[in-house]
Amino acid sequence: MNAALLPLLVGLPFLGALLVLFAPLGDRSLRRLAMLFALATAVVGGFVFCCFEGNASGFQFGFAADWFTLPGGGTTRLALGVDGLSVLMVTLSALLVPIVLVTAPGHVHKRIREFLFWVLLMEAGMLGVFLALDLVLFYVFWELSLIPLYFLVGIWGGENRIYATIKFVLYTLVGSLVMLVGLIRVALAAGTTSIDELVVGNLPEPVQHFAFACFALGFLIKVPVVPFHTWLPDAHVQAPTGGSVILAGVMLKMGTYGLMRFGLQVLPAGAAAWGPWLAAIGVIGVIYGSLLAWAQRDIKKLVAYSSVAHLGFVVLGVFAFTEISLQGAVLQGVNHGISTGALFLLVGVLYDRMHTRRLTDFGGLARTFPAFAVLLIVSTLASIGLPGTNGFVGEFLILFGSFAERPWMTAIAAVGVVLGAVYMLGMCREVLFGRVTNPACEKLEPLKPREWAALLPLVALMLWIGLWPAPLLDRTRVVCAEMAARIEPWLDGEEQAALPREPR
Amino acid sequence: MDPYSLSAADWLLAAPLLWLAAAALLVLVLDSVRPTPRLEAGVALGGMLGAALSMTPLLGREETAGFLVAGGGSMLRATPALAALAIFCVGAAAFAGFTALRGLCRHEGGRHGTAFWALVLLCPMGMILTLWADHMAALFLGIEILSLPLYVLAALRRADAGSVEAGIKYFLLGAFASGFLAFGMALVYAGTGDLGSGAVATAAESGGIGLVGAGLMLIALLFKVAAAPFHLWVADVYQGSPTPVTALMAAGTKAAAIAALMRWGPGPEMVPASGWALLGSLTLLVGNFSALNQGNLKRMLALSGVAHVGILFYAFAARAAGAEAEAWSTVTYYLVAYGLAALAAFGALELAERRSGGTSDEELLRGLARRQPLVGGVLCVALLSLAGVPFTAGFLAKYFVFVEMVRAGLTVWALIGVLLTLVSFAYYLRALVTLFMLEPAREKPTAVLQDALAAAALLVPTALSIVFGLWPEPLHAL
Repeated sequence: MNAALLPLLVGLPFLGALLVLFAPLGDRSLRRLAMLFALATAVVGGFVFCCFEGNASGFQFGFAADWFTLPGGGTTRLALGVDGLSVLMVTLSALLVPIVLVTAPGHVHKRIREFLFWVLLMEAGMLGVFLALDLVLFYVFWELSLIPLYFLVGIWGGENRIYATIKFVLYTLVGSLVMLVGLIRVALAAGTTSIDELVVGNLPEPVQHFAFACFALGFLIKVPVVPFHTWLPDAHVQAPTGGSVILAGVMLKMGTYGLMRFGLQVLPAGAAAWGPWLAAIGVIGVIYGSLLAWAQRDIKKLVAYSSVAHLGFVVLGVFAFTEISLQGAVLQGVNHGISTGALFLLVGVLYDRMHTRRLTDFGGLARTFPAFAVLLIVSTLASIGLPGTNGFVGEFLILFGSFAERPWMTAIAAVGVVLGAVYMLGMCREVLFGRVTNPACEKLEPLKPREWAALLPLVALMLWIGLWPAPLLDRTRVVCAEMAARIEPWLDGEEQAALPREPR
Repeated sequence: MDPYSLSAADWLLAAPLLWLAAAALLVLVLDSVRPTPRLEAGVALGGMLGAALSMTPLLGREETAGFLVAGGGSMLRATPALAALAIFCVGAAAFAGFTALRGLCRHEGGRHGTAFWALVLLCPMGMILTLWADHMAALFLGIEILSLPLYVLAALRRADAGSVEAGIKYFLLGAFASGFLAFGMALVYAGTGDLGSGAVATAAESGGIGLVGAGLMLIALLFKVAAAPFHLWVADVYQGSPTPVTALMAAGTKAAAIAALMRWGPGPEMVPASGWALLGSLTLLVGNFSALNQGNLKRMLALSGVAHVGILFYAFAARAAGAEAEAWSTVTYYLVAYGLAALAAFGALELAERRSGGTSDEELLRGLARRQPLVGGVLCVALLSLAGVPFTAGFLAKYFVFVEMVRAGLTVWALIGVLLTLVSFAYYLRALVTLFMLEPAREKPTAVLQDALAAAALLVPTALSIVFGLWPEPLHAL
C-alpha cells in the first residue's frame, strides 16, 4: 500500500493527461474527466500529508525500481519518496491543480482538450520534481514540468505571449542545462544517482563547490532572484490565470526546494562556501523586488514583482542555515503559493470582467463588488504578513531565525516587510477605495460559484496556517534540524579535519 | 582452407545484403515485365523484413568477422551495436519508402518512378556495408552503394527544379568526397601497404604520405557526416529532396557515416580529445546558428542535424580520452535517438507539405497542429526529442554523451557544449510556436491526399522515441 502511494500520486495526473488527450468526449465531459483525476490526485496528496510521520527522519513511502545502468555511474532508479522538505509542496501542488481547473472555464475558451492535457501533464511533472529520489529522474521531471507551461503561456496567454513564453523557457533552460553538468559531476564523483544516499554522503570538496555553482544557477533562475528575475513578470503577465497560479504557487518553489535539497543536503560544503553571497542576493531581491512592485501600474505585474520580493525572503532563510530560518523558508514557500495564487486568481476575476489590469482603471470596488473586496483584503494581508495570517508565521520565522546568523542582512530584509505593506496596501486602496471613476466598475457580475470554490479554500488555508501552523511545522521540524546540523561543520572554517571523507 | 567456401559467419554477414539485393533485382524485373505498385511494395517490404530478421542473430554474438582476407583481417566485421544500427538503417529505408509512396504515385500519374523500390532497397545495402566494413574496399563500396541511389532519389521529382538541384548538388559534392576517399585510401596504402582496419592508425603514426592519406579520408568522411566546415551542401540537398528521402539521408546516411568515421577516422594520436571537442563545438556552433533563422522547417532540421553531429563529436572526444567501449554504446544510442526523431519529423513534414502545397515554409505551416492533429503531435514529440527534452530518447542521448565527457575529464567542454545546445532550443521552440501557437495560415483549397499508410508509419518512430526515452537499456546496453 505505502510503496504504491507515490507512484499513484505521479501516475494519476499522467494517466489523466493521456486519457484527456485521446478520449472521444465533448469539452464539458473532458473538463469533468480532468477534474476527476485532479481531485483524485488531491485526495492522494492530502492522504500523504495526513499519514506523514512528522517525527521520523529520512524519506517515507519510498518506492524504487531499477531504470538503467551507466558503466561507472551506478544504477539510475525510478525512486520516489517524501520527507519534511517536500511533503508540504507535494500537498500544495496537488491542491492547486483542481483550483486551476475549476476556474479554467472563466478564461480558457479554446482548445480545451490540449489545455487540460498540458495542465495534468504539468501536475505530474511538478509532483515528480518534489518526489524524485534520483538525480536523473529529478531532472526528467524538472524539464517535464517546464514544457507544459511553455504551451500554456504560448497558446492561452495574452497579447505578447510568444515573447514571454520563449523568454521564460530559455531562461530556465540556461539554468537547467548548466545544472545537468553539475548533476553529472555529482553522479560520477559519488558513483550513484540516488538522492537518499547523496544526502548523507560526503563528496570531495572541489566537486561540491563546482556542482553547487551549477545547481545554484539553475535554481536561482527558477526562483528567480535578482538579476535573473526578468523572465518572471513577462511570464506572469502573459500567462492565463491558471498558469500564473501554478507558476507562482509551485514552479518557483521548485527552485527553493532544489536549493535546500541539493544545495544544503547534497552539497553542504558548497552551500557553506557560497551561502553568504546567496543570502545577500536574497536580500537584494527583497528590496529591489519591492521597489519594482511599488512602481508598477499593472496589477498583475505588481503581484509578479511581489513574488520576487517574497522569494528573496525565502532565499535569505535558506542561506541563514539555522533550523528556524529553514523552517520559515519551507513554510513561506507554501504561504507564498497560497496567497499569491489567490491574488492571481483575484486579478483574473477582475480581468475576466473588465479586460483591463491597469490600476487606474479600477477604484471604489469595495462598494460595487464587496465580496471581492473582502477576499482581496484577506489575501493582501496574508501576503504582507499580518499576524493571524500564514504570511506572518513564515516571515517571522525567517527573520527570527536569520537574525542570529546574519543580523545585518536580516535588518535590511525587514525593511522589505514595510515596503511590502506599502505597495500591497497601496494597490488595495487604488482598486477598492476612492471614488468610482470607471463606469465599468459600477455593475460587475457577482462572484460565480466556481470562483468561490477556487478562492474559499485558499482563504481558509491562509487563516488556518496563520492561526495554527503546528501541523505543518511538525512535519518540517526534523528535516530542518537535520539540514542545519548537516551544514554546521562546514561553517566557520574548521571543517576540513573534522569530517570523514570518502575517497572517490 | 578453401578460399571459395563460405563459413557460417560469412553467411550471417552476407544474408542481409543478399536479401536486399535479391529484392531489388526482383523488383526491377517485375517492373519491366508488368508494373504493379502493390506487388512491388510487397516484395520490397519482404526483402527488408528478411534483411532485418537475418541480422537479429548478430545482436547476440560478441563480434562477427567474415570474408577473411588472405593476409589477415577480414572484409566485414559486425558487433551488436553495428548490427543494431544496420537494422535501424533498414527500418529507415522502409519508413522512407512507405511515406513517399502515395505522394510519388500522385506526382507521376499513378505510378512511382521505375526504379523507386530498387533504389530504396540499395540504400540500406550500402549503409550496412559501410557500417560493417573492415577493409577499405568494403568501405568504398559501401559508401558508393549508399550514395548513388540517394543521388537519384534526391532528384526523383523530375518536375520539381528544387529536387533536381538537390540531386545535382549532392552528386557533384558527393563525387568530390568519393575522390578524396579513394585518393586517401591510395595514399594510406602507399604509406603502409595495408588496406585493413588498422591501416589508418598505422599511416597516421608513420607520417608522410600515409598521414596525408589519413587526412584525406577524414575529410571525405567529415563531408559525408556533414560536419562544419563541410556542411554547406546539407541545407539545399535536404530541402530540395523529396521529404521522405531527406528522412532517409538524415537517419540512415548519418548513422552509417558516423559509424564509419568512428571506425576509419584517425585515432587519438592524430586527433586528440581536445581536437574532437573543438571540432564538435565548431560544428555545434555553426549548425545551431545557421539553423536559427531559416524560415523553412526542412532547412532548419537539416542544419540542426549538423549541430547533432557536433554533439556526436563530443562522444568521439570522450573516446579519444580513453572510453572506447562506452563510446560505442553512447554513439549508437545517440544515432538511433536522433534518427528516430528525424524520421518522425521529416515524415510528418511530408504529410504537412501535401497540404501546404509542397513546401515546409514556416509561413504555410502556421497553426498546423490544429488542422492536422496527428502530424502536429508527431512533430511535437520529434522536435522535443531533437531538442533533448526528457521522456524522449533525445534527452538520454545527450545525457549519455555529457556523462562520458565529464567522466573523461572534459567538464569545461561539456559546459561549453550544453550552453551551445541551448541555442538549439531557440529554434526548436520557435518551430513549436509556429505549429501550435500561431493562428492557422489561410487554407489553400487543395484536395488533400488521404494516406493512412504514411500516417501509420509515422507512429512507429514517434512511439519508439518515447519508448527508448523511458527504457533505454535494450539499446544502450548493446
